[in-house]
Amino acid sequence: MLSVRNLHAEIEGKKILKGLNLDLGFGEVHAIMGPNGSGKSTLSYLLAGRPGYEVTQGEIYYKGKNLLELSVEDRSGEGVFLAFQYPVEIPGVSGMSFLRNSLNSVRKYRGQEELSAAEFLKLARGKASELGIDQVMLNRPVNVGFSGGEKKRNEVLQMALLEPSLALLDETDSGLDIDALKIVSDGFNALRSPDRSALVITHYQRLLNHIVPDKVHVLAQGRIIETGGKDLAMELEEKGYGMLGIQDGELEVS
Amino acid sequence: MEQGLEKFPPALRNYVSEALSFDAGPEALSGLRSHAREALLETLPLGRSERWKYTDLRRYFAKPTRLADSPGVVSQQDLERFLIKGYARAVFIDGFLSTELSDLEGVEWSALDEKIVGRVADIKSTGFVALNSVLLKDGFSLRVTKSQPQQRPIQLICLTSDKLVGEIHTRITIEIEENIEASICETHGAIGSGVGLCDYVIEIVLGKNARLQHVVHQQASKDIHHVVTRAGRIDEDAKFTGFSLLEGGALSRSETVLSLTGAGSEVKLYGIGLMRSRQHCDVTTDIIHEVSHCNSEQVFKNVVDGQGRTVFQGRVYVAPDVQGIEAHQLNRNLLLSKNARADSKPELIIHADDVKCSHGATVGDLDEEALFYLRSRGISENIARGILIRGFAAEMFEVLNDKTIVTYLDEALENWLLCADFDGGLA
Repeated sequence: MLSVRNLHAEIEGKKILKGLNLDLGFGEVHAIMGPNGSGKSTLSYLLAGRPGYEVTQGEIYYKGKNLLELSVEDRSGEGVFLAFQYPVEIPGVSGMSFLRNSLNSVRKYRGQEELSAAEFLKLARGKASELGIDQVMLNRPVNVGFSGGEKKRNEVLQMALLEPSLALLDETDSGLDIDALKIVSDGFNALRSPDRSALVITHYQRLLNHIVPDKVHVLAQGRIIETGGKDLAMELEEKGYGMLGIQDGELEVS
Repeated sequence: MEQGLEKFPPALRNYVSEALSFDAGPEALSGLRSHAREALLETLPLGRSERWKYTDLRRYFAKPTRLADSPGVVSQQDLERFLIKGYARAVFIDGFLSTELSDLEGVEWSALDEKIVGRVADIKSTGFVALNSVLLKDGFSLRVTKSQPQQRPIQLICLTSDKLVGEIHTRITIEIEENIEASICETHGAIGSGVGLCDYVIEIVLGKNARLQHVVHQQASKDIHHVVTRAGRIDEDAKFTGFSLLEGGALSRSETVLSLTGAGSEVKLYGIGLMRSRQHCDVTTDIIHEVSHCNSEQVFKNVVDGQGRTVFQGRVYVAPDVQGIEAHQLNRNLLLSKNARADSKPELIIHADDVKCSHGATVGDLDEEALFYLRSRGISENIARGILIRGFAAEMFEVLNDKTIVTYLDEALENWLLCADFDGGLA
């Protein structure tokens, strides 16, 4: 599904990723943990195509395609989906029209027929109610005035509609209470299938109780320094990054 | 040389001299005309004045011009696309009221007379009031009173025809009687490509506890200079809510001077300006808090593309010794090209202590983070830009509760966006 080879990347001259290697197979879910400033969010942004990052070395292949050559929107069409750590507020744009625009853009890219307003409404309402999202919220401007939890749920709703093959969850658990965490995780788990994969970026092991990963990677100083099974997350939770000879916070990129 | 003319540059004297010699307006307004002639020399913005700092009409006035003497021909069919369903309407073609095209059933109206004209529009204020008073040829007075309780909302449709080459000067007065709630929409539009100057002065009086929703949709042909001056007086507990969607012309100025004259009165002014190519749009407001306990709020947004230019001058005046005032204003500008320009000048003149005032202005480009967010959801960059531009403007509609009006304005916004090419020229 995804193969990252010797990836070096920087933003505004600051080196952030320094030789990152990662292989994610079809149907696999990998967790990425690591101290602040280790490059976790950079990795997810790079995969999604956020402008401003420069790849100085290395390559990323996704389903056999050179991902770095695809535009942001084409990556989405190809099935890459980033659930934002901080979903963006878009005043004046109703949630419903945004979602329909998004879904139909992606469907068009994938050679599927676009949905009519009525078809879309039915689909979106169904998915929203599974995620405990109020109808009223969908009609409001995108993310405007939403609580942290509502924003994250809204991200998962978009994911459920776009049915990505590579989901990138960037600290989707932050800002969620236990109930919301369960709803969001259930929403994610419902999408799991042998042809869908995910990278789950998190600081906390608790998310991984709900979304059980096949592998856990520790990202530090711009590369993966440790890989293990789901037990690694438990061990880190207990002992801290100190057990790997690093400390949370000390690796802030300067 | 006529006395006073020497203060104008030679190229402009001809215009002023011709205006002063005009006397073909309504007989009923001859007294107003003679007063206004005296004021004209002092008020016409032909030199430099603070209120006209960013909008220079001298080049226009230096060219020979003439007054439109009769309206062009406009059919019912031409009119169709300007109509709002369910509204009564007064239709002005090239500045002249067309009773055939109007539908004023159940509406109380009359010809202009000196008892009504000039009650709130001050001929001594810098700008177009004196000029309008001297040169006006037509207009009408509208009253919304208790005698018509089930009154339809009223649309004032001011159109220029293909035939227009020259100037139109028209006066409309609006009076909303006490305890009455009314809804009026001014639609300024063009059929074909007229050339010249449109000058409308609209006088508005709100009686005690009256409510007026005053909507403006303005669009003029590319060779029209379009100047609308609105002067109003808002009495005790009365509420004025204005909402403008301005699409400009060659040059447009919307000047609104509102006096809050009774406690509990309120003015809300909202607007969107959509400018492109070489259009110039000036929104100037002057909110005068004459008494204690009256509030005002102004929010104005501009979207400027091409070599367009917008000006927002918002003045709030709080008279000496009045108390308990809230006055807020905000101007936000979205510049879509390197050559677009927005000037914003708030002005607060406060002679009292117990006052909460705020003002703010922003000028910026599209939010890159929002653009990335939309694109990451599969939406192409060009469409994503369109969505964000639309959202920036459409956010303003949230202050309106009137669905018919929101649909009407939204359609205009949509049409403006459809004519845009946000692919190129973006900084």
